[in-house]
Amino acid sequence: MTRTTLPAVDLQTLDGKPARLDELARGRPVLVSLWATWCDACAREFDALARLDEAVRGEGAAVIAIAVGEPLSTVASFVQRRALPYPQLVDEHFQLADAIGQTRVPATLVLGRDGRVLYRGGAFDQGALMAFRAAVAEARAAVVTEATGRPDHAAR
Amino acid sequence: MTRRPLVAAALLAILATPTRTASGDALDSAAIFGPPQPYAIESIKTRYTHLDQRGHGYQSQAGGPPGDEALTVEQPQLEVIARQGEHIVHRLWVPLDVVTGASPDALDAISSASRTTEAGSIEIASTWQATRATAATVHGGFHLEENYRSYDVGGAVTHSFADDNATIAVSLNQVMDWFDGYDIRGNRLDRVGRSATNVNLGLTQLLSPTTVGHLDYGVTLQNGTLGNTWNAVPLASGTLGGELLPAFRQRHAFVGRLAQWLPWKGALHAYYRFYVDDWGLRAHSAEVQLYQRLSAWLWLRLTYRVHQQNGVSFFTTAASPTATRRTADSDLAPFIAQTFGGAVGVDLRMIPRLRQLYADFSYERYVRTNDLQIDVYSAALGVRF
Amino acid sequence: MRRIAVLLALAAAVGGCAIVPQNRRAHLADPMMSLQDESLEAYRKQKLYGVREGAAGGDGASAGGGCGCQ
Repeated sequence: MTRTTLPAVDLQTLDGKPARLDELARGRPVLVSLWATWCDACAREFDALARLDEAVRGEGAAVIAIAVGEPLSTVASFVQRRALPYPQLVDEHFQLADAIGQTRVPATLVLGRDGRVLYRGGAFDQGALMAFRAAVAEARAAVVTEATGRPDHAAR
Repeated sequence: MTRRPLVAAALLAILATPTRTASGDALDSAAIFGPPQPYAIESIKTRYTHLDQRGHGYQSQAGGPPGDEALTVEQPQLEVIARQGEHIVHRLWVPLDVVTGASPDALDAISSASRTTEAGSIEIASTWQATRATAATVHGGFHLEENYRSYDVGGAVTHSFADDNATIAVSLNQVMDWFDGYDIRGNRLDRVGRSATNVNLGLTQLLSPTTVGHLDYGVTLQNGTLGNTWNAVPLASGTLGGELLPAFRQRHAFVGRLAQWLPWKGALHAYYRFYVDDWGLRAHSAEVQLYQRLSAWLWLRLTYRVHQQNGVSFFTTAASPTATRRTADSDLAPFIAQTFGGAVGVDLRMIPRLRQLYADFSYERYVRTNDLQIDVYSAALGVRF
Repeated sequence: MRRIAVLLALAAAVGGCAIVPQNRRAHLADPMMSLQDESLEAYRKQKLYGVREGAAGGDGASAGGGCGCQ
């Protein structure tokens, strides 16, 4: 298992505002999907990622997609046409992808609530989902422990 | 201190439901990825091609010599691709050919009995994606024609490496044909047969973010009756004789392809093939295609192809009656052929319920220096689910 | 045949270079850049030329056989 932290890299939201993944992910487990509009295998993940987003939205975890290597306008119009419901960032110049040595799309990362990379893989699959479930459970246990001072065995 | 248990209880209450949801049913594999699909149609494609050919050749007995080679071909095709589970893909392909012409087969050449020949094939190929980088394909098919049967079987393995920058492919094909022989007067001879064994090696390499190249070599060994048995050959004596071909042919083809992305949303394709065989035929074929995307869903393609061949060593239009090898088949003669063409295509993506809907229409004109001209019209319609 | 083997060995040696990272293949993924013709178009061309020219093969297909027309 790779356990590194995310570099501080400036990305963009779909309306052109600056954003950083390490800041958006802080304090909650996040499943990150790196993708591209031209990538057929990425398109096959859209439905599953939308369902995952719906399942965890507002529950202390998040799904964040990062479109890699394409202009903001291209990504924005694609996301609008496909009505992708989960949060999107744009890494137009491969800054994040290169910084974390990720040369493939689709690629999936699972970040723990402390920002560490708990899982790194290709397409969003069973392995990625298992890692995300574990991260969600770990985060919940940590929250309970912090609140009560006692470990939450039931959450594991 | 007394407030801490209260805060904890409140937190637990908030987290209880989401936790069960998040790590339980809602994050269940079936809930996220959907139920497994054991079988699904991936795409359906059709193409209809019409060929209108005019010209003359000495092998034809329809008038002449040289005889008429005029014919038309209607060629519908259907392809269905289905996915079986995660790793297996099947392809069903049915091409048909209806040839109407002056001398499409032996009986027509002599009697003009029907002047129509129908032919059809059924081919099935199954590909197993063994690993992310390696796939194996097996295929088999059956071809039926008026006086003719053919079976083919084969297999291929592809393996990509260096982060998919390179792909090697090896394939083996075996074709077996049986047909009724006729002499040039239309008399039925015995059933005859032939076989073709073919091996190909290919390498595809990404050369830059905008360039991809491919090299291919194929060798085919043919055995048996390698002509149709009723082709005529003018003899020096002024009469007609039958075609006499060797019973073995060794054919080599070397192919290079290159595709280059162009910054104005276009692409340039270049193709070259060098061919040589042991019947003394050498040929160079080159093709250039220029693609231009006019919008996200509309594209154009221009095609130019040139083919030059020197002819087999025993081609003649006035054969010695005692020659052991002779042919007057215009396809085996020395000639230069050129193709000029264009296509327009529509490529619609992300339509509700469909991943892609596309259609194209093309026109090509094929002109040969030994009196053959063909107009080719082709239209395709396909959907991907 | 020796020359063919040498050529293929050379091609394999220069090939296999990891030149283009997978996430930088946007242009290469465009259908216009596909090196192989669309499958039904490929058959149309193979039939048009294979039947009317003495040369055939070299694209993974057999050079000859399979129909009464060649």
